Amino acid sequence: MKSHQLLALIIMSALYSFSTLAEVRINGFASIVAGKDTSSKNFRNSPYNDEISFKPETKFALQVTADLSEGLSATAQIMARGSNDFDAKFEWAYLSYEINDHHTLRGGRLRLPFYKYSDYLDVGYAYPWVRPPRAMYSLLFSSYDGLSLISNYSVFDWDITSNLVYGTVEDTFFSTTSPTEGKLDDLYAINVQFSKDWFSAYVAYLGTDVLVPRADIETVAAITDAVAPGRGTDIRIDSDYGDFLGLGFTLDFENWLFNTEWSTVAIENSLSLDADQWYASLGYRFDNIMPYVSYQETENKRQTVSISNTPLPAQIHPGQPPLNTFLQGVFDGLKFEYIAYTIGVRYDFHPSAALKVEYNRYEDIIDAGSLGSISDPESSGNFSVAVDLVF
Amino acid sequence: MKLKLCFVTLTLMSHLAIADIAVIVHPSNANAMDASAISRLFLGKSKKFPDGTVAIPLNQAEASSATGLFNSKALKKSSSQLKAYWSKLVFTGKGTPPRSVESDIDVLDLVASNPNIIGYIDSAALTDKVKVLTTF
Repeated sequence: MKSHQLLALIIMSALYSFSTLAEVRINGFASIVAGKDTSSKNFRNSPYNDEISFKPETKFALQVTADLSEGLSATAQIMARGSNDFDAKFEWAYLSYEINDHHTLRGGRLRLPFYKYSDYLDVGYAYPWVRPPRAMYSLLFSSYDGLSLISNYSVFDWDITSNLVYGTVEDTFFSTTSPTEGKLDDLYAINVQFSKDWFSAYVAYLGTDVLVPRADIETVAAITDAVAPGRGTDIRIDSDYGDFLGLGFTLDFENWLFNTEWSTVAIENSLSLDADQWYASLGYRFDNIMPYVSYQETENKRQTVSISNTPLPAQIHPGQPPLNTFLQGVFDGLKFEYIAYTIGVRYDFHPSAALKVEYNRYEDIIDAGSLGSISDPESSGNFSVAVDLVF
Repeated sequence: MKLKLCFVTLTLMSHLAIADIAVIVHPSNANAMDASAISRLFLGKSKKFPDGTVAIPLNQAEASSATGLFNSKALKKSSSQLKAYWSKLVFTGKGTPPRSVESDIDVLDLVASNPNIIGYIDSAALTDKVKVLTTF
């Protein structure tokens, strides 16, 4: 009898402590990706070369969520990327508070809502491809520190979700080509998604002050200042307003999956070209096998320079070209345009894992002296194999 | 003889085909819900019954046949599509899948004890402790 009472007491206290403790959930995901370029020349938008490598896109992540009840929760996502020598880094770390059924406020380190797949860019299992189309998903940063207000509404069977964002970004920009510590200040964004049955669409706008003192741009700015005093600021990315506009839609109808997105990016008053990107992708599900094809394009707008026609001093440039001609050459040299074709297949071989095999072909739009690549190939290819897991 | 065998096979097949899934709530729960409202609850798109009370959807273990049938008939998704759907929400802090219990019996017990819970079971396991909202 006594032992029964003791047992009851133990069970009661166990239940009691359970109800006062935060409930903690652990989830995770991983992608093991191997890739190889078909050309020994390095294509600018491919992290691979002509030898098989596992490092550029392989990643492991753990997410811990503590539910503190009354609508409050804390989430941290720690990720180790092969491209970063598997050093673990916090990709997300935020508090979330459900204000009511329609609004959730989040604060901390969050993902910027640029594209359809921005929020789960790293969760390979959540999309058909080995990676979202590179022509489009090419921005250099993906997380910010600040606030986000997510609102959900249901109107005539349409689900509408908006995300209002305010914050800052401090990061190393151009980490592979010209690592530069930079800042995005006063960053605000709005992303609105609409969905109904098999149709979903979104539109996103983001505006921010961009400060990225990249070394090569600073050099050109210094030359400009020397020839036309005070005009270097037209070249520097020195707290210039930059903005992003993106839209896209998805049809997930029976066994067909169609995705398309378009975006445009610009930074005012600096040595940077406006860029437009888009892609379309079509897949068909045969039970657990899904073949897919995509087409991608990225192009720049030409920018005309008119700062000053004063010739450069001979010690800077022996040919002494007029400043405008020199700058025009630098601007035109930035042009980066290519198209890409993708063919691949996803095989869901396990309830929590998918195998993907993909081939991409990149072709420069501008030939001779083109900048679609680091060392100037007119076309290049890439094979990738990935295993994506969620747990 | 052949005809009889044929008949037996047909009967077996039709038996398999009519293994229904019953969506159940507490007998005191007076809400009426159609397939789309039920699917919205189980996909985390809504969190309340039509009368405004909090709804707690309850899944069964991933491997159970009831779960497979419910996913394909009520949610119209394969298990990998559903996993991809939830991974989008889980890893962006926008939602968590319903909790799971092991068996029809567990679902029956929990639904019978809490008017906020909504679950699904093989209709062969139904008892009068719960109310059937609809069957798939």
